[in-house]
Amino acid sequence: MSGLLTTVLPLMMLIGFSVILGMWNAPCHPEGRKRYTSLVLSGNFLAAIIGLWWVGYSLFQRALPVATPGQLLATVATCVWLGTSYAEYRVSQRKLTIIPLAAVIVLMASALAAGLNTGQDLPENLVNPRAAIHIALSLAGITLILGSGVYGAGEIILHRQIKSRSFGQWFHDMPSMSDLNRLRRVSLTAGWILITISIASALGTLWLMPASREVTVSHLHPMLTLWATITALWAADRFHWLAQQKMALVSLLVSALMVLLIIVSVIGFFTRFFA
Amino acid sequence: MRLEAIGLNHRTSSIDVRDRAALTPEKVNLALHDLILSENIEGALILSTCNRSEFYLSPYHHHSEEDLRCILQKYTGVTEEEACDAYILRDEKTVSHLFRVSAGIDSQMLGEVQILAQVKNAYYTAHDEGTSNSVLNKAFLRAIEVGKNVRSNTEISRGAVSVASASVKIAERIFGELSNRRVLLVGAGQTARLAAKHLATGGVDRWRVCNRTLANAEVVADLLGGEVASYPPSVDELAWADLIVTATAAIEPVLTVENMRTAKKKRKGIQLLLDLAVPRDSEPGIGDLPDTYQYTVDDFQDLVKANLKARENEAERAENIIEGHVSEFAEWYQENRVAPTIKQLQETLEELRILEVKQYAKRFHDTDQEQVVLFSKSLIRKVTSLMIANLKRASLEENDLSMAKAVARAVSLNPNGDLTDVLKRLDDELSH
Repeated sequence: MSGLLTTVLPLMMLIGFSVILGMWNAPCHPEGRKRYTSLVLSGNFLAAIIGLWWVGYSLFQRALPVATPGQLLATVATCVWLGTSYAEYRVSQRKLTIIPLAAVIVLMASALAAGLNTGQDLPENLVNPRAAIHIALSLAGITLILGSGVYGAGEIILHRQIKSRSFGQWFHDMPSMSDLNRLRRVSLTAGWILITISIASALGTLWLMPASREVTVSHLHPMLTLWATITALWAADRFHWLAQQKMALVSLLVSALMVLLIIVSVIGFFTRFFA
Repeated sequence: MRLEAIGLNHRTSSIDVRDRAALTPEKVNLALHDLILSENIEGALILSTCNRSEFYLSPYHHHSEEDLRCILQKYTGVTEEEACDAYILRDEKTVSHLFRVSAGIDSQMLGEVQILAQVKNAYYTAHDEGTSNSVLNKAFLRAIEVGKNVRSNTEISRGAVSVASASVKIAERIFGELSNRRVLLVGAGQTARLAAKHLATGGVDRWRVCNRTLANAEVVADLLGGEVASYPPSVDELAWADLIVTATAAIEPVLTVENMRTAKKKRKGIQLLLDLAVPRDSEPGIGDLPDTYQYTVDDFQDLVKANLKARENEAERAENIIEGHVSEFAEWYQENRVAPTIKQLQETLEELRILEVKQYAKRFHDTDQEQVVLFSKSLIRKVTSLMIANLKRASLEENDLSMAKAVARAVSLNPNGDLTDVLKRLDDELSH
């Protein structure tokens, strides 16, 4: 059972995502319209599989799969694909889907390379539901903020194509500017809400478990910086402080900054934890 | 192949001639009924659009070029000289041309989609009037299929190729769904109306119209179900609109950077300005304002050119698809030449079977009657299917109709009736 959950199923999903990525380049041609529909269906099927796998693995492990870097990566991959499938249900993302697809493949392959099995009993703090929920909410929130960055990048690409009158393939095959803007704003708002809850739960844990204060506080500083940045971004978007194109650019920059902070924060946290 | 066509299109004739040659639906009906009365015409079909007038005929013997030109002159009213410019097509070239027309390859605007509906209409008209025969029916049904096939398997109809449709494309790329978008139409002339028509087709339903002559603005606003706005548009009107379309005859710009900047302060979100006027109605710097896109006629020309180029690249793929369909049609036609003989054979043998079963019915017990009928049907089916296969093979592979003639003679119950007709048809085929 362990081999099935940690190797066979993730490997099969990886193959499935790779096949879809290979075929996604064509769907915007007329001959590919039917193929696009079948690819979307296949994507939904894979979303169901990856979601079930994540739940199944949580039940099998009796803890959310966020205990090792491999599990974290797999959880982010799950969030990315579930989010993408939901977004596709609302708006046809067309060629833009290539980006989350590639991201899922890289994340899943890295998760498999890093190993999904903990190989030992899980540390007490990670089995603790408060910590697990904090981590899961953070990952989901971060994924959504990253998604807003991707949609922001899409807006910038389309904006440049429209401004420069270069009506290339991306001009035809991207979602409309309005759809991209809507997706970016929804992702940003949802991500901000999840990260806010996650930070609140972390502060609660800090108050309830003084023993882990040393590790948690050092992790909390970059996360609070991140939260403050995202809150400022969300407020700027919500109250239209900046023009739409500037907001798209700022979303992209914040996403990049966030990736940097996450790498510093999470890697540092796990290094200290397992040391 | 008993198929020929004569016609005029944008390549052969000026727009004046094409206008004169275009037939109204009533005239098409009259012409079809008149043509079918001709002794040498078994089927007739007319495709008449603003850009082409074509007569498709299925004759017993091919008409001479002169006869075909007379037909064109008679029904379209073009002069003898103008009729000389018409193209005349025969046999497979007719089929190939029809398929290219249906696929939009022969259209002035490569890949246009309206022609497919016009081909359908032409077919249904002739079919309903009873003037098309099996060959024309098959050719046009296949042409409709080819038209769909080419459009779904190539990008020949993709992308806007007129300024009006390109403006809708740009608006869709920016706003997505156009319903609920607010449009301010500045100008009420032909260009403004055409752009409005395309945008309305795209889903726009919230309009404000302004024009130097108020009465014209009211007419257009009524047509679109919108409101009339002041001219030149006020800052509030400019701030209200997501999309501004200008197409006036004004010499000086109607929209200034300053007005647009003030309007931007009163609104949120993207604004698109489509300036379809020459000289332009908007100052050049408007596009530099934040969240504002400004497009002029020249910009659309680039999009139109790019799309036309893309369509031309797809034309070759479309030609390959058409070629395959023409070959299939030719094969069907070869097989179909013996269809009347086969029909006669089946009818004669069925008649004989019924007579024989009736004659011998009393010799069998009631319970065996059903078995006798089944046996007789099975026997006849086996005999005929063998003969049909051989008849088709001879026609298709060896182009040999002598076996069909022999069968037609052999199974004829009434030599003075149907046989003459069937033999005449076979002789006609051989003469082709």
